Amino acid sequence: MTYLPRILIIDDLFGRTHSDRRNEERANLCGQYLLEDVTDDEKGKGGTLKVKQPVAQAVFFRGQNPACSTVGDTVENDLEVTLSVIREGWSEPRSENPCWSMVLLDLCFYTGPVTKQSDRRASGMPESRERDNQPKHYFGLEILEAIHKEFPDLPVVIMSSMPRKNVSREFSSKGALGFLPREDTHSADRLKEMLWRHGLIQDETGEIVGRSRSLLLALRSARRAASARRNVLIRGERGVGKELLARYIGRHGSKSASAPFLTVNSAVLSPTLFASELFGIDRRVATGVEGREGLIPAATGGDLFFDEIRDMSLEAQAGILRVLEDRKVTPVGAKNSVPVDVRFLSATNFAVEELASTGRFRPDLLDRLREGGTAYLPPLRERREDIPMLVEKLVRESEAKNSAAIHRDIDPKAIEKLCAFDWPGNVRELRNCIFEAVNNNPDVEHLVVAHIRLAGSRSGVGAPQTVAATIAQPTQSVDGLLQYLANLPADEWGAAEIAGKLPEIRAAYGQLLARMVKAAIIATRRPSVDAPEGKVLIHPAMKLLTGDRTLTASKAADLLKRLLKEEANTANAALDDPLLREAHEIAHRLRPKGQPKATGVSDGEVDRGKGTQK
Amino acid sequence: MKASVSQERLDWQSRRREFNHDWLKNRFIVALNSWLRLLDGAIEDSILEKSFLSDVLPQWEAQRGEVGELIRDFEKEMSPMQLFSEPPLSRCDPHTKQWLGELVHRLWLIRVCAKELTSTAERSVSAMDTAYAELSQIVRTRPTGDLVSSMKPHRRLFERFRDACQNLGETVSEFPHEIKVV
Repeated sequence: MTYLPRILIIDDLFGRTHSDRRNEERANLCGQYLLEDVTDDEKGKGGTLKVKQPVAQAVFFRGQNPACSTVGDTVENDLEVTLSVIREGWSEPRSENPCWSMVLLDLCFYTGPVTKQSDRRASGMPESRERDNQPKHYFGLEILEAIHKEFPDLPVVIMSSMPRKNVSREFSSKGALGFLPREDTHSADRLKEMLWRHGLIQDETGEIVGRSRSLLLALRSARRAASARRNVLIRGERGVGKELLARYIGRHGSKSASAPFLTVNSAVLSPTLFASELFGIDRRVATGVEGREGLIPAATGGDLFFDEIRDMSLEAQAGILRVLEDRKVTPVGAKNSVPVDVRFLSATNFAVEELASTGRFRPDLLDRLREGGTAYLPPLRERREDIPMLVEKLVRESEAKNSAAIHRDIDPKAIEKLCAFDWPGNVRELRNCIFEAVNNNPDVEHLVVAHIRLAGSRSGVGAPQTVAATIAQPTQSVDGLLQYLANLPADEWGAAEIAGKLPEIRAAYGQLLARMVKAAIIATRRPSVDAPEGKVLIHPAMKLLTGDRTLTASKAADLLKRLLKEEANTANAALDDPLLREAHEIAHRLRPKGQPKATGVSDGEVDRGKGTQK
Repeated sequence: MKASVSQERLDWQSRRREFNHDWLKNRFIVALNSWLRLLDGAIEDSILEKSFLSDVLPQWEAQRGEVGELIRDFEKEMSPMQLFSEPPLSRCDPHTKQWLGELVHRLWLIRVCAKELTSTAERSVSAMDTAYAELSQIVRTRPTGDLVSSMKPHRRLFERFRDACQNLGETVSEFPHEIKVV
């Protein structure tokens, strides 16, 4: 199935409808931009435009009332309804439709009565009012401001025939990401570019499956990082598909389609072997020794992907840093160096900054490895809506791999069960689960609940819980979480297994803290005329969180910064939340230099609410 | 210094908006671009196919006079010299009104590059006229049969006409959006 991004076009001229015929201007715009009109308001009005290779699907909306106007009507802008249309396709998209990839927004909306004269000029269009034409009063800017406030992640590009320079400052400051001149000759290509750079679009190759907003945002940050062809660090829990994302970056930022993409397991880069592995061996190094091309020279012109960089030896780190600085390598035994042009992509599921702060990872190398940005892949539990698509793909893959397996339908109850699970091992664990289900039941036409064996339910009722299942349980307090961690059933997993889970435990802990901070902020927000949703007040929020009425404002600011720092260290996601970001900014303004040592916070500190430094 | 703009003077801006924004850029060029897609075979649209040559393209003839007047009236209607016919400058004595008005006008002509703007716009109109005349001739003498196939060989000419439209649109956008004295 061909996937097409879905865009919303808010425009008075192209969004209006006629009762008895199609909107010609809209059809022409779709022809120009190669858009498939899926608004569904022109059926039975005759004359369908057929776009052979559409760039996107478009839903048109007038942003005004009435949508279908005739002589004698009065047309008025309607922000409320406009926002509800946006919300419908963004916050609550119907399962068969993905969320908006982008909004194309007009600037100038004509209001007022539809007269015979105005109708003759453009059917159903009103005489404009003076205010409609004043850039500072453009309704498009009002919509833009409201979108930025309510849907900060929703990409908006202005599409207008007004001179760009007259409004560039306004639309930039209100959060628009670009400007498409409506009559642009290269309109379809420009729209494609805008979608690529700013749009929330699926992986067109289908390798990375999903259309949840969190995944699409991750893909966008990866594309943006890829475009600069600089080194990118990929973060995410185990099994989320970091290598797939690295390949995605490789596809989007390589000089050519045939550019090499090589992967290396950082753990194999031991102090003694890294040089020969990475730089190669000169064939003249010694009699009987065969020359070998190193991974870095072999990846020239393309990408080299380092999996889990925390496992890299310090010696290997020093060697890679030299390559990054000099852009050349010297194979073992060689006298001369060889220039290299390689982008380094690296991945970790660990707070590698902590290793850097303790000297176990070179901070200068870390800076180099993320100079082009950081891409964060969300865990599967944060994009459950992708599970049905993933299951479909994995079932077909499993069937293809097992020659005995027949084609099967997937029972909705099985999907329900799979969607309800938290998948601590993410997509990899889901894949294993599906492969097992298909392999164990090759001769049936249905994948049903009984075929699915989840990690937490493997031993039946009353079995000891896994670390992941423990984390996944809703925990009422930080104390509660710590209690769970203290009582983890280490006997089944073993100490090494538990140690391996530490990044996840830490991430869960950080996320829980962030959620609690957010809950406290929401609970203590105070509505005002300026901020009807409530002003963020960090002092009462921290008092509520700690139960300490004597907590001072500065201590509250310190505590909030520390709590969010904890989350940011692990998942780097807390400050993506607008509310938490705002709270953090307030705390930072209040205590710009009062940053306590970033070593986390204990439950005791939270309970005592003293906000003391360790 | 930005002067207040009277209702009469808004007329030129309104006329410009109706021609350039409402018609040329929003409708005419968009339809032309869609027509070019049709000729390329990228889209199929029976309505556009039937209406473009008979209804859309000839709109230029109706708008031609409007843009000519717009360019011609620009200097008269947008010059700050107009401010001398309104209070407070209208209270100046006739001698002052004359020499100061003249000076302000001459400075304004230089400042907004009025002559260059109008001649660039006129050149764009002329380029449109030339391409349009050729297209009209082709349309008049076209053989019967499939319309799109008969127009495909003339795609470059349609493109030239569209480019001239875009040049005109951009030039008309460049004209000042308000009356400024200095």
